[in-house]
Formats: sequence, C-alpha cells, structure tokens
Amino acid sequence: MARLLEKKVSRRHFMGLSSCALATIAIGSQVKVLKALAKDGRIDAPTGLGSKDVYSSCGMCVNKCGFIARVKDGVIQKLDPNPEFFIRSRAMLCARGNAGVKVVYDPDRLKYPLVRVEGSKRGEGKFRRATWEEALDLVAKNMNEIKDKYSRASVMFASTEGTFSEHFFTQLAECYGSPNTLRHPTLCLSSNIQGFGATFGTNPTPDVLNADFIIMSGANRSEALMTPDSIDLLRGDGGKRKLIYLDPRFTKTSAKADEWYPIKPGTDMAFILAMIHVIVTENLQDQAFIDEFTVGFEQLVPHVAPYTPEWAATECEIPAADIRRIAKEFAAAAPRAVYYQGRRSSFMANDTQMRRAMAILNAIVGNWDTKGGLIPNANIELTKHDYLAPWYDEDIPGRLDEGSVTYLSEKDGAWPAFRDRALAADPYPIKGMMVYKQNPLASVPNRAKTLKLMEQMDFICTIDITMSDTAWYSDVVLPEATYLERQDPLEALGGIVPVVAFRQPCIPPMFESKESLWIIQEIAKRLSEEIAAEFDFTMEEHLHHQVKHNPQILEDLRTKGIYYESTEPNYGRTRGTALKTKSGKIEIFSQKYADNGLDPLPVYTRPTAVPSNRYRLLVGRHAYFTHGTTANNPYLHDIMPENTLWLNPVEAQKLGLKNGQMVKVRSAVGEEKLKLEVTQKIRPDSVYMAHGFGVLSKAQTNIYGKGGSDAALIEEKYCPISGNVAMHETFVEILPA
Amino acid sequence: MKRLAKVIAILSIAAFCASAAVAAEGGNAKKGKYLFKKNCKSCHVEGAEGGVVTPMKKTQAQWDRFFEDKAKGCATKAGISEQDIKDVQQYLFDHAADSDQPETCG
Repeated sequence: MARLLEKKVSRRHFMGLSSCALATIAIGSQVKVLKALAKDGRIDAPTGLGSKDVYSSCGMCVNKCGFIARVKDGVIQKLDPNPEFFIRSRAMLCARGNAGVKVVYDPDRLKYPLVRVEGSKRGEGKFRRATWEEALDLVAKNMNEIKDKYSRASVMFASTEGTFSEHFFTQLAECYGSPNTLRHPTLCLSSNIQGFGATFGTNPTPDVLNADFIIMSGANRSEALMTPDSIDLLRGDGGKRKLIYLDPRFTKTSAKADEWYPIKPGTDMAFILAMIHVIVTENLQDQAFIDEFTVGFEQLVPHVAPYTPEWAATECEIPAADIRRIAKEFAAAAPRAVYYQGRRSSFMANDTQMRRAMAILNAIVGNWDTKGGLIPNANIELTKHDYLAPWYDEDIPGRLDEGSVTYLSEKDGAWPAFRDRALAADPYPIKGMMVYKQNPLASVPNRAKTLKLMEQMDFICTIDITMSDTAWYSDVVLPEATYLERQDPLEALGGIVPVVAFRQPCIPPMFESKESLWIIQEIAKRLSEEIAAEFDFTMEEHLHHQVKHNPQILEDLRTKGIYYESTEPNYGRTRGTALKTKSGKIEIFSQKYADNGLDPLPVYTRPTAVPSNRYRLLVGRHAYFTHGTTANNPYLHDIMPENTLWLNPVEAQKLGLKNGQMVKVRSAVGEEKLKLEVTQKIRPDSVYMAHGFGVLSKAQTNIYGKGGSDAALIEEKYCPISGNVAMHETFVEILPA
Repeated sequence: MKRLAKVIAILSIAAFCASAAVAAEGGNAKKGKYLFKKNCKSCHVEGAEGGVVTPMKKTQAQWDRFFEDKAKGCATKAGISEQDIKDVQQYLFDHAADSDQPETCG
C-alpha cells in the first residue's frame, strides 16, 4: 500500500474527462481526494457531519454480502462485515468487498454525463462533458430516430444482474417495445441452469455446509468466491468433509482439497458417466428414492453400460481405480454427498449435457432436498413491481435470435448467436445499443466481432459507474451513482435459507452521478407520455410497494441490513410435490429433450484434440476481481497489477521461453501480449490467463496497457441447447513478443 | 356487467378453439401478455377477488384445461375479442410452470 500512498494526487484527473486528459493516473487517500475535489469547487469541504453506521449490501460481485459502512464527516472510512448477514456471507467481507470504498473515491470513476466529441471516432476517447439535459435528450432523440427508420426491435438493451435496479432497465426496453434484451446468462451459467432445470425443474443449491462428500469440477470456489459456499467448503461439519476437486490447474481450491485430479479439459462428462456406471453396476443407487421420485432410471442403466472407469480413464486421464473408489465413496456418503454444480461458467459446447450427467448422478444417490444434498431454493416473497408495457400496433418483429438455440430465454437472449445475426442484419438490422452495467467488449468472446457490432450502430449509450471498454466505445456515457451512494430496491436472495437485501446510500451521490431509476425515468419521459406513465413513482414508493404485505421487511433492512424469517434450512419442502418438469418428477430420461431431437440421456463426445504446437486456452476468475469490473480498483490493482499467461515448465523449455518474458498469444480470432508465468500449476497441454485485463479503455488508467484480454482470444463457440458460450474451446499459439 | 357477460361469452367460444397440444392456435403470446396484464389483473392481484394469478401458477396442461372450461367463468371487466383470448392463452401456456422458458440468473 505504501507505493500507492507515495503517488501524488493529480488535480487534473479530477476534472473528469472533459478535456480528454487521460494520461495521468493518481491515487490518493479518500480524504485527499475529497480535499482535492473541494478545492476544485465541485463538492463541499468535509465538515463536522458526525459519524454514522449505514447497513447495506455489497455491489462488488454477485454475492451481495452485508456490510456496515463507517461514515465520518460525510466520508466513508471503512466497510465492515455485517454480523447479522451470517446466513449468506457468514459475517465476512472479502478483499473486493473491502476495496468497495475505492469505487466511490476513485479518480477514474465516471463523474458527469459525457458525449462523444462530434467528428471523433468511437474508441478515440474524445468525450466532452455534457449536461444531463443534453445527454438525455440525445439518447431519446436517437432511440426515436432508430424506431422511425427501422423498428423498435432495432434497439438492443444489454444489462446484467447485481444492481438491484436492472428490472427498471428491462422495463424500459419492454415499454419502448424492443424484444431484444441481452442479459448475461449465456456468458455465465445458462447451460448449468438448463441441464439441472431439465432434470429437477429448477437449479438447486448444494448444501455445502452439511455435505460430507463434495466433488467439484472446475468451480474454483476458493478463488471464484461464492458465499456461503467458499467459506463453508473449508468449514465442513466436524471435520468429516471430503473434497474431491477436478481442474486442469492447481488452484487455491486444489490446495484445500483432499484429492486433486488435473483432469483433461472437456472430459468431465466421461468421469461422471463412469461414476454412474459404477454406482448402477454395483447397485449402490438409492433405489427407493429412484422409484418414488424419478423417471427414466431403467433407460439409464443400459445407457451407461459402455462408460466403464477403464474407458473414462483414457478420456479424462484419471486412473480407473480412483474413479471406481470415488464413486463408491460418493454413494456411501449419500445422501450427504453432492456433485457440486454451483456457479461456474460454461467451458465446452456440450456443457448442458455435461450438467445433465451431473444432475443425474446426484439424483440416483437420492440427495434431493435433504440435508447435505441438493436443495431447491427457498424464497421470501416481495410484492412484485407490475407495469403495463404499451402495446404498439406496429410491425415489431420478435427476438433477433429467435430459434437460434433450442431453449432460448426470451428475456436473456443468446449473446453470440444474437451478435452473428445482428452483424448480418438477419432477419433485420440492429442499429441502437443501450447498455446498463454490462461490458460486452470484455465479456463476450471474440472481441473483434463485438467491435464490429458496435461499429454498425447508429447510436450507443452506456450507463455505468466506470469507463468500461463498452462505455469507451459509446456515444453517450451516463454516470450512475455507485452502490455506496444510491438507494436500491429490495432484492429477495433465494437459497437454502432465503434472505432479503437492499442498499441504502452511505453518502449522497458524488459529482453528477444519479440513481439508475432517475436516469431511466428521464429517458422514459423523453420517449413518450405512455412510457413515462409506467415509471411514475418514486424509489420510496417502490420500496413501500415491495413490502406492502409485510412492512417489517423494510424496517429490518434499514436497521439491520437484512431480513430473514428463519436461520435454519427447511429441508424436504418439495418431496411429495410435483416438480416443474413435464412428469412432475426428477427426469433422468428427458422426454422433452427427445421430443426436441436432443439426446434424452447425456452422450459423451470427445473434445477436439489440441493441435500440435498449440495449447488449449483456459480462463478463470480470481479472488481479487469480479469479471471485468474491478481490476482497475486502486486497492485491488495493488494486489494484482496485471495478468500473466501460465505455461508448464516442460513446454516453456520446448519453446525456449523464460519466466517473466513477454509473449504473444495468438488464436484464430485475435492476438494479445502479456507476461509469461512458467509454472507447474498447469497441465502441459493448456495455458491459462485471468479474466479482466487487456482493456481498451484508456480511462481505466491503472490497467490500460497491462496484461492481455481473454475476450480478444476466445472463439465464440456455444452450446446449441442453452446458447451458453464455451470458454475452453480455443487453441492458441505462444510466441516470443 | 355488460362487459362481463361479453367476456364470458367470448371465453365460452374460445374454449372450443383451445388445442391441447399447442395452446390456442394462432395466439400471439406477446400481445397476450399485454392483454393479460390489462384485463385479467383487475381481479387477479393480491387482495382482489380472484387472487394472484401468474402464468407460473399452472402447468401447460392445466392452462389448456382452464381454457376449456373454467375460463368461461372467469369474470373480467373488459370486453376482449376471441383473438384476444387466444393471445392470452398462448402467453399463459408459453410461460407456464413446466414451459420451456428456462430459469434465469439474477
């Protein structure tokens, strides 16, 4: 941290981006920043505002952990974990959560509405400061022009979860009349949701705390943090826990596991099918459970006959004896045994069927809705915000990506399929792009294609708190107040023990940043009276509407930062009730899939072999960063200033490459330069780089020019069932830079 | 009450049109969503006489059965056409508890 403090505060930087002066980076303490801002006349100097504690929930990643902001003289001094939030976050706040303070007092944050300078090109970063009035008028003008010239469907709306306010943005899309909302699930875990949904009718939560035996495939829980799983994984119940971990890399989770197997990438399904083979061959399944709660077991038995451990060993490079033993141990520990599906992105194009195999393995040992097994999520009801999107008697086509994948979520879309059709204007053009928090340039594989997509837009507007790559390529950039400055609606967080969270402002919004509801309302007002009418409420009214059936919820949130009805799981709620599948039971054999021409039971396909002189590119998350959103945070940047390319020493020697040298990584779609890290922590046939670097935005001054972008390298292969991108189907060449 | 009677009559006609396999043939689910919210919500919200109704309250087969008989008695206060009924049915069918619409994230 000393290095940070030595840096001097650059006043010029706090002037915002109005002069495009982006070369200088400066970090200061919060007080220094505030003083600089005060001198600049942009905010009042800190005065004796006293001290207060504010309960709210974190916005640094997907977990929404509870914290208490310690505020003194109008300055957030520190964020402490909220002990009341034990149910979800086990009263913990991670490195990212702690670094949240720097989101507010970050010189790189967005401060004012910005408009791209007339005559400049997108990506040059030439923005001028605009008034809210001008910027919002420009947004509405362009949205209306595109609607008149093409259709309402020609404006796409990209957004992502986590803000608690995203539904206002999708409401705007629906009220405007565009079917084309593009959310994050196909960049995330739509295949997981699909595979488990097809089997159980829902995607359940593994009861990590109470499971005695856990098998984890690549969901690197000690680094890709999920609360409470990441914490519970290490606690276990009385030390009985056994963790088997499969990953081509030696991650932090490998270090914590009882057994780690560097599985050959893309072969998880072979391992799982062989486990099922052992269980049914040796009659270790929970037959009583299967008879009562499932359909299709009789088709499963012959289906897995060829999938012996000996066969699987040649596929996944895990010894047959280990597969056999693990299968027996798993069945013996059941029902307190889970093959953890958890949160993990999709690696291969067959991911939905791999998830089906995982779900079936769990089902046959009877771990459904019982302590230590897979628990369907419970929820606390909030009164839904309802609205009536106007009906337009115009010829508005359906989703652009309609029919592109078997099971398309009409609200989420399928990113790569959508992009391909938009590039071809097939069957109609997409000319406007409204973005809220999402950063497709960093998150959708094949960045060059996303840049082409953006090039063909008549208009791009991004609402964000930071100058993401996508904002950098936009025409209008609107600064949202950060999660520490704004009031957010209540959010019901489902899970084994459900809770309700919300956010309340720790300090007023700084600079000219605004709550997203206000921004969206102002756009709505400018679009039409009809649309504006659906946004005619205040945030306070909205909060009270959400809890009108139980005002205690809001009371608890304001005073404790969390609402819950029980601290204990309620196991077995769904046993004996119809599940949300066609049969109402757990579907081992999926008739629905058969009817759609899909394999009704998961069939293994061998992944494409790594070509000679190439490596399989693996990507992954990191405990310090959330996707592409936090690498520029000054505190977190100090911990990890750039990403590196992991390469096994044997391969490094073959290529004549040395640890620390710069290398070029080339795939079929892009080339990036970054530092080489020669390490035994990776299989010789693969290389790895962390996500979130190699940015295009020069306004991310800490990380611009540092490391490489995985999105620039990954080819956009995707699962034809769910539309989920396949992150590990790209081969790269490594060359000295 | 006149409008109510009209809707009941329309629903009765619609019952004949309901297909067990694909809900109402020729139904526009997108318009159905609008019509459902506009017309059905007057009775089917929390605290109102009809109780809360969402597409997820029934399976596809249950919705089809509903439109075969019980929809006749579904007293709404709006006058909507036969086509409107088809649209509403298609919307409810497409978003039923066991529909192909996957769960989402966030």
